[in-house]
Amino acid sequence: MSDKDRYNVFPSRMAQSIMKGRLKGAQTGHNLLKKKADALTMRFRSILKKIIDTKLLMGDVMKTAAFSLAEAKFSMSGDFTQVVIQSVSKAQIKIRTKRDNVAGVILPSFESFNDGGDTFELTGLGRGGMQLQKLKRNYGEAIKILIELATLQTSFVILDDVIKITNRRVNAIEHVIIPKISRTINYIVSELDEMEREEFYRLKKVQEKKKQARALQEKNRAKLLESGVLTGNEEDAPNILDEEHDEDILF
Amino acid sequence: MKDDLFFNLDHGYAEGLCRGFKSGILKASDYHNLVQCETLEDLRLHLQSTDYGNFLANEASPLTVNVIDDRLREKLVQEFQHLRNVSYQPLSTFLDYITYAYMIDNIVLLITGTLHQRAIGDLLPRCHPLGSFEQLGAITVADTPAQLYTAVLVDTPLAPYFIDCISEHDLDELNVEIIRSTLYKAYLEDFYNFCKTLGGITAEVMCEILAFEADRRAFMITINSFDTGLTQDERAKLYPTCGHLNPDGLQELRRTDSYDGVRDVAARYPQYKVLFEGSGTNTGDKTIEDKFFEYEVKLNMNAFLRQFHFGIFYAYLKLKEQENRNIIWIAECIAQKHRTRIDNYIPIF
Repeated sequence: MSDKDRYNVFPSRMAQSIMKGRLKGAQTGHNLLKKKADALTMRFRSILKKIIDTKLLMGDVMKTAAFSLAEAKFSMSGDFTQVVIQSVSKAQIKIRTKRDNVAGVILPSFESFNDGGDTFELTGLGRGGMQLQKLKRNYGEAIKILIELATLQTSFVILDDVIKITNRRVNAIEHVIIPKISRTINYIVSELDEMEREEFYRLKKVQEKKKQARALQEKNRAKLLESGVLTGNEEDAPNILDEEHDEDILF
Repeated sequence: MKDDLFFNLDHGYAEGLCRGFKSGILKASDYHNLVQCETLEDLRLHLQSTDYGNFLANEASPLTVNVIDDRLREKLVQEFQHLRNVSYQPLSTFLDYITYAYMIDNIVLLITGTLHQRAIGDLLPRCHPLGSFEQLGAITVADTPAQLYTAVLVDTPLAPYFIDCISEHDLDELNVEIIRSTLYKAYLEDFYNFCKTLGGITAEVMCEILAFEADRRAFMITINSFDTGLTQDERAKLYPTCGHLNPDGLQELRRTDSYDGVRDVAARYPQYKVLFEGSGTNTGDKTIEDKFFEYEVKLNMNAFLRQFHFGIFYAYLKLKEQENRNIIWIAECIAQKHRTRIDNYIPIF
């Protein structure tokens, strides 16, 4: 097995247990990430559905609003659009952002509020006032839907990104990290086995050698016994360290 | 007698021209054709066969409704200015009076612009061409509405309207719509008095039309101010007094607070009773505004039945404007593919 498919460790029992720990950690991480990816995908799908519905609704609402603009132009004398455009000073509808947490991902959500009174209350006083009120209502609705759509779309984009990243990580763990660790563990196991076999063989060889040496010594001793150089009664040299009780010498 | 004998000396050419223009106003069959169009190109094609001719010939496609609007207005302005150029006194003064209404709109636009510190150079192209006056170019010197008044407006023909009702201080404070309504009230009453001094058939025809305009304004201001912060007294200051409703009707209107109250006031005047009966505030009915438009068109058409008076010029301008609005309405319905209400234009013939 080439070196780049596994970690470079010295094969020992401790390395093996460390690797086993890592494998367990990788598997836990993989499960957690998979759960996160599933939760995000679920939310993603529901947002997608809402976006489709909202966009269809927005098409209709914008159409109504544009038509009510045409109606207002019909019944108002003169070009009221110019006066309205020129007298705009600040935004009437403003947005506050709130944060939403989905499986650890922070999604912004926009909420609109009306800031200040209606500066165009009296426009169209002489003519076309009713059409103008309708127009204001229609465009107000259109703005609300647009704000909703904005929230949904930012969430969509952010979620898409995060889901891609998470899936990439899940796949990486599943197809790269875990196999690598497994291969390392297998390598360690195989190296340990081999070392054990070597030990065993060494042991056996040493035993054999010792046995041979003893057999040779026996043979020599037997030969000497035969030749009478040594009697069988020889004891070994007395051991000074032995605590033998010497008889007292009595005169 | 005097009218019939000597009218044509000074005004015969203008009247003839005006009647010629009037005969070119679109008929019911033309509107029928226009309503059948599927695209704006078809519309352009159909308009070519009418008196409009090739006024859209130089426009690049794709045609937009704004372009049609601009060209229609240009054509109207050209015709009106030609009439003005060939007219003698007192017809020329009469035609000037008609332009004061547009001047009021332009001035309100300029005041709004200066109030919000917009560059005057941006505002000038947006003014209505019929309402331009010589001092229009000199308006760049003013920064606040008060300056605008002292420097420029005092020299215009509209100065008396300002003096009567609005002080410099008010210009800065009041809502522009109230300024517009106040000016318009003064203008209407002035115009009414002028027509009365002209006497003869002109007085008869024009006073009828202007009285209706005054009453219509009173009704609309009342109805439109129900949900706003406009008090009854402020509102009463905006009612023009030259109509049939003066003075008891106006008093009643001042006190009403609901649409039904307005309807009750109208019930006392037979011609308005009919209008209010035919309308309603539901989405299917014609609104009271539509009814007012129809009545106005009828009065304007009646002006053409009599000869030797100035009313036809006013009537022609108003009818032409209504026709322009009709064409734009049909064009918008076609462009937005929203054909359900395409028949809501006001037919003229």
